[in-house]
Amino acid sequence: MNAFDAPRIDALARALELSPRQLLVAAMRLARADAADSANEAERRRRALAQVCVAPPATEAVAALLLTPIASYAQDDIDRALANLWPVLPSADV
Amino acid sequence: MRRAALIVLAWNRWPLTRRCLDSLLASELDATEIIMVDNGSNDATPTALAGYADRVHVVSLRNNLGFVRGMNAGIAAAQPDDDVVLLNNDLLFTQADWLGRLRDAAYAAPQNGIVGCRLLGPEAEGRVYHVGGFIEPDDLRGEQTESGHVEREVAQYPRQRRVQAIAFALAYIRRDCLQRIGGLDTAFHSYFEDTDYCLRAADVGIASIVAGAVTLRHDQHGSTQGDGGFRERLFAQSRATFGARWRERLRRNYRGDAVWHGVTRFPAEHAELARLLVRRLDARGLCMAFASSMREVADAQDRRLELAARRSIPALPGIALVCAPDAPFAQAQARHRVALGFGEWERVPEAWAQGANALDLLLVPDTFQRDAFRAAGVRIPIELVPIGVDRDYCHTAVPAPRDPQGHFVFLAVAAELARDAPERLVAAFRRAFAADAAVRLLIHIQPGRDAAAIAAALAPLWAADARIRVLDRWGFPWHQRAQLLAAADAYVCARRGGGWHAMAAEAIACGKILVATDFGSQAELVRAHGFAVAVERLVDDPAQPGLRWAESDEGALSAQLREVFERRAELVPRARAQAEVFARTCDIDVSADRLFDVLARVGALAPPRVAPTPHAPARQGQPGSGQIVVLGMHRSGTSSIAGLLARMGVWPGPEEDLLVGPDNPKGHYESGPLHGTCLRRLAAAGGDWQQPPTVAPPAAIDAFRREVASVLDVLDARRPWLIKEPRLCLIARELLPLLTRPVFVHVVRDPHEVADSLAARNGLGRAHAFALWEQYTRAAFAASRGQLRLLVDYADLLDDPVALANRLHAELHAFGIEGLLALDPAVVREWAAPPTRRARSEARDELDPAQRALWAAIKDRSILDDDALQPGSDAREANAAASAHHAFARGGH
Repeated sequence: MNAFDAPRIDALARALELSPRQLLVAAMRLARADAADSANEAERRRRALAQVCVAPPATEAVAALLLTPIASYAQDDIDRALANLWPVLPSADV
Repeated sequence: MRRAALIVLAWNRWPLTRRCLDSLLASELDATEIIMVDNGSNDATPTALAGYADRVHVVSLRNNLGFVRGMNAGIAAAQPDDDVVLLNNDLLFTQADWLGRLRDAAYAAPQNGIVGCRLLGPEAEGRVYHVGGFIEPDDLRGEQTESGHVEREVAQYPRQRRVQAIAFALAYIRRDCLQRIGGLDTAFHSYFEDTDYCLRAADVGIASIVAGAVTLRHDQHGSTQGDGGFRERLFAQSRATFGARWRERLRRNYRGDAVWHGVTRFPAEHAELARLLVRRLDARGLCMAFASSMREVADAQDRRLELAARRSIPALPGIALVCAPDAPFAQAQARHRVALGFGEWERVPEAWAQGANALDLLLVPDTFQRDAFRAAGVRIPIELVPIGVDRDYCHTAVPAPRDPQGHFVFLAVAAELARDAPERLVAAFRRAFAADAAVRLLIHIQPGRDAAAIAAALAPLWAADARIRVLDRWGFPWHQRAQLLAAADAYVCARRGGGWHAMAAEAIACGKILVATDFGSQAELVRAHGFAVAVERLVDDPAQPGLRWAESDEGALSAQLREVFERRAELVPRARAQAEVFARTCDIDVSADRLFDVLARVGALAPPRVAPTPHAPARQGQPGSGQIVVLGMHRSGTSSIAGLLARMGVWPGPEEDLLVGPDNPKGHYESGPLHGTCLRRLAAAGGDWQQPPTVAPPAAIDAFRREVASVLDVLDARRPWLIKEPRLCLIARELLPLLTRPVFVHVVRDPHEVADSLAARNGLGRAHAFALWEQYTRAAFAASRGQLRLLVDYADLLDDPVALANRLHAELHAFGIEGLLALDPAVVREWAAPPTRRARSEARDELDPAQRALWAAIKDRSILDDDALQPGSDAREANAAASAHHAFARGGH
């Protein structure tokens, strides 16, 4: 998940009156659906969206992880970041 | 003279032991004996130890008896009056004055019987493995830090503090405590014996302490590595023994249960509250469970919070406390429903108010929040629980990389774009400072939902501006949060939102200058302690139409940034100087106490167990050893009483050492070497008897003890003996590690007469004299608290010297002082005759209320109660010291 997809998913979810996680779960279900059902796309989508509300916790947790930027759960020592921020002073000629 | 027996236990691994011994011998080891216990080694250890025989007392055990029996053998080999210090052989003594600082902690209070220290592991970058910890009945897993995690060294836990237990990799145990509860329990072979010992000690009022001023290196089980699983078996066995003894006791410490509904990740404020308070409530006796209020990848970073998240939540808990974003108060399903809430606006959403009205109690951090909830229609009781600062992590000594070019750094944090208004701050900063100004703006964009939007909004503003540095979505361990502040000079909070914000107070506690919008929860704080930025207007939160927050005046923000920068030479040191005082008044542990008290009341918790009486050496029924310390303010009659004691056969020291001066032609009964030592001690700390120093530099304390040890060595040849020097009132506590069951004789005199005498002899003003009297008196009685002590009133010497002498003799005899001579009344009257007899002055009252209360406690002798001057005595001593200093500065008028 990159820095641009998350806000877009957020916006789409709001438009469909879903949470972002519910949207991802629905997308997952739609992707798994039988191709023979493609003739009734609208009904398929409706059923998938209705089902997301009862998605099991494990599915929702996976979706939560996908939506969490790496920076949010990867942690590194702050002084490493601070040391990167400041310019390195040029060493004096000996 | 009391010493410390340093007991090092070793089993094989000679290179490790040698490294430990060599570093130990290179440290400052005054008044010590090193006892090396060879626990049945079969490598080079026995032979190699022979090379240390001139410096170390070796106790060789034929077989490995295990840690407990091995250490007990070392304890048995120590001198009967010595304190003991248990040491692992994989320690490295990287701090020269470690023992002096442990002694300071061990004798800082009568109940401080067991003292540990901060221990770093073997890693080069410094990881903290031990700062004193706890054990929970659920897992029976002893934790060696408060968070239960190994943390990067960021100078955390620098203070002395009481803990549930310490690890016996290093343990200073006072002799009187060893006599009270004995050695390590042989029911344990190794492991858990330390926690067991600390819990047994607590049962009799002995405190386990960590000396934050000591940090050593410990290689962590270096002596038992590579042992084929032997260690694991020992651990399991000891754990079972410990569980059988303590599990139910630990469970019974809980007075009730509560579930905390909150988050561990975002938003940062709510996650911080969960980390700060769940562990503290658990430690205070509330069995905590934790339920996440929203789906998140949990990030507790705290063992007790993790444990709380694993605990089953009862169908109907005693207390439910909701502390989560968007105020999901309906989650509070319990017999007693509480919430800790705060919003960003002058009025919280109606939905919040409706939810709150279904609770039993709403807690808020400040009056702004209380008013915001009331304005929305909350009718239930609302109580204030101000949220303090975690002083163990937020203080002025936190290390961090600073800008090597020495620029003045403003720090800001942005987590929500609309609320935090980082773009306004950048604009104000760029307007405030020229391109070549020696300033930097450091913005940390916190990881989270808005992070990408914030980065996108700021990118065009800072891209070409080298003065602005952005830490974009860098997640770091929570325990390092103060390092961000340590890297800066000032913290700027120009947010629109008025919600509680931890970093504002943390910045002040870290000695940084605070600049913040004069709105919301931080308004009172910034007005009192920082630079408030005027509000230009209140505007609607676009996400919450109808709810208003504050748009700061950009011009005012620029002006405040400029003023702070221009006055930095004055403001930076002032902020550092005020940090400690602020943090003491804004302490998260006080917040936790308050929150616990509120929940205990609301939740009708079981009453607390009766706490044991705090341990005191004087209550152990052991006789005085014949060491007598006479304490009293200058001009209080200490020479007279010392002379009386000398006539009872108490030895004041060699005749040639005793001072004689014009103030007391009959003699001060004061050792010249001791007098010189006291002078040097006060001078080394930047003071003297008229202007007592307010700080106690460790090197000065150690030098004082070294010099006094020489004096005591001479005196100990003939007991009973006495020492007397008025300056000792200020520094008597530093003597305690060298004394064995001393008796303190407090000589008191009406402070008005003391002031009269100081005016006549030294020209001291009245206010200065009274302030000094108060400071000396408080310090003296605080030092002798918990010890054998008695009180002698100089007025009684004038009124009826024979009766006084008889009473003094009887009290010393009752304390077990042997060798006292019966006094001839004629000798007493002759001693008390003029010029020692002075005219009594009429009753006067020029004292301030605190001084008057002190004198009253002396007159009715309640000052001898061990609880006198407690709690808060340190504050009263500090106030007395400040008064004396100010009185001196004013010329005493």
